[in-house]
Amino acid sequence: MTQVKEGQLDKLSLLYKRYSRALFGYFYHLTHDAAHSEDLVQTVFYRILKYRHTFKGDGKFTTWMYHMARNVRIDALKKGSRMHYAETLEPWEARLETSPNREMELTQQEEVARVRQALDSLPEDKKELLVLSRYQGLKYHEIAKMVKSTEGAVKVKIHRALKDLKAAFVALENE
Amino acid sequence: MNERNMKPITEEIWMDYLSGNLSAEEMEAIGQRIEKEPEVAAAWEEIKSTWDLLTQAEPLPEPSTEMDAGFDAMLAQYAAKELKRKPLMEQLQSLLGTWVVPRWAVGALLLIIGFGLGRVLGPSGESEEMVALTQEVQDMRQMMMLTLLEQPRAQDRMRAVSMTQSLPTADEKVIEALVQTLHTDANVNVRLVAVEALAQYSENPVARMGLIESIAKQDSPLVQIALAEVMLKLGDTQSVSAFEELLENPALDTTVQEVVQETISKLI
Repeated sequence: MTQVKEGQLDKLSLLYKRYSRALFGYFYHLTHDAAHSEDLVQTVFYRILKYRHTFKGDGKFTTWMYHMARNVRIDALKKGSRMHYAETLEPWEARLETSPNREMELTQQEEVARVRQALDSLPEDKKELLVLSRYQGLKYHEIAKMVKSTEGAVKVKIHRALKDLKAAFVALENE
Repeated sequence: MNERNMKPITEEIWMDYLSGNLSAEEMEAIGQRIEKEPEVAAAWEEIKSTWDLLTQAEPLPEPSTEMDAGFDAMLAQYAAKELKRKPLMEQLQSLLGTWVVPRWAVGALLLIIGFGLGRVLGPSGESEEMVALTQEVQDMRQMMMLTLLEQPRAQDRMRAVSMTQSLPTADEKVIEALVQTLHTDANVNVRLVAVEALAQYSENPVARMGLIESIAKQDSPLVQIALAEVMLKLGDTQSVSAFEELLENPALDTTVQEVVQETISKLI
């Protein structure tokens, strides 16, 4: 990133290759909309270019990148941007038709849907903390820096988010 | 059970245990408590099972190849714009990369290119054909730009707006499409690129009015600042009243407020 900051813009391609999938995952887990997630990834890299002078180089690039991604996401939410939910059932249905373990797969599919529903039922901040720590593999101190909080507070919040997620999941199971 | 073991395990410690963020000794101590104390075991089970539950979330789809293409286009366009801002000598040097080239060699190269261009573009029987061909290419680009502007994906629309920078001239249709994009596009980045694109046609009254009218329509601080910068650069005093109206909005971002106030004071 330091090279990009110094004007070697082509070096951004390397960063894109390394991190665009992870970034796509971050947005996808939050929105379940692949096309919208791709747009948001594009926006993040555009902002990285535009605001490259603000990268101080004293922290990890990924922390800075996710901080930017977070702002992009917040802006998108403020705009009340579309919340399309991609249809994920079709590929499963197709597989189920030929699967010998139809019942098992159906149960698994229902559980996946419940996890997603439970995750979506959490407030945005809790959901985001779980996505950042569980799916993006960010360390607590990195998340703390991003959300401008302390490491201790982040740990406590993630612990509580897990509890809430479990409660939501169980409630859905009993429905 | 000794006293140390009776100490409650805090939420922070559980999270450190989950991520293996404790010393080997501490990990071992908690592991033992999980084995021996049913309450601790239940608490751990609750955390671990929920954490594992998250692995069952839907599989991540692969992003489309369009995402990569969109990034390449955006980077190329951005790099071209940056390059345009540099003096010719610096442009050549950055194109030649890290080669050590003496200044006289670059000068000689420029001379040769100039001579070659003179021969190709100079008056000849082929020049009319060349003009027709250039016009055709420009029309095609224009058409492609207008089509891309209608696409639902922001990256396509950004590409469309950026394409106008390679058009030496733009007709009313293109300018109107750009103004419409600046006023109504849902994506901030598309609108930002539209500001830049319209600024290059600032001599066209439709483009200039479009920029001024847009001041009242924008809600993104980034676009508002971009508009203020463009108006200042163009020295457009007509925009002052629009900026003054914007300042009356109590919800206006404080940074935008400062930039707009500064812009007005410099324009008056």
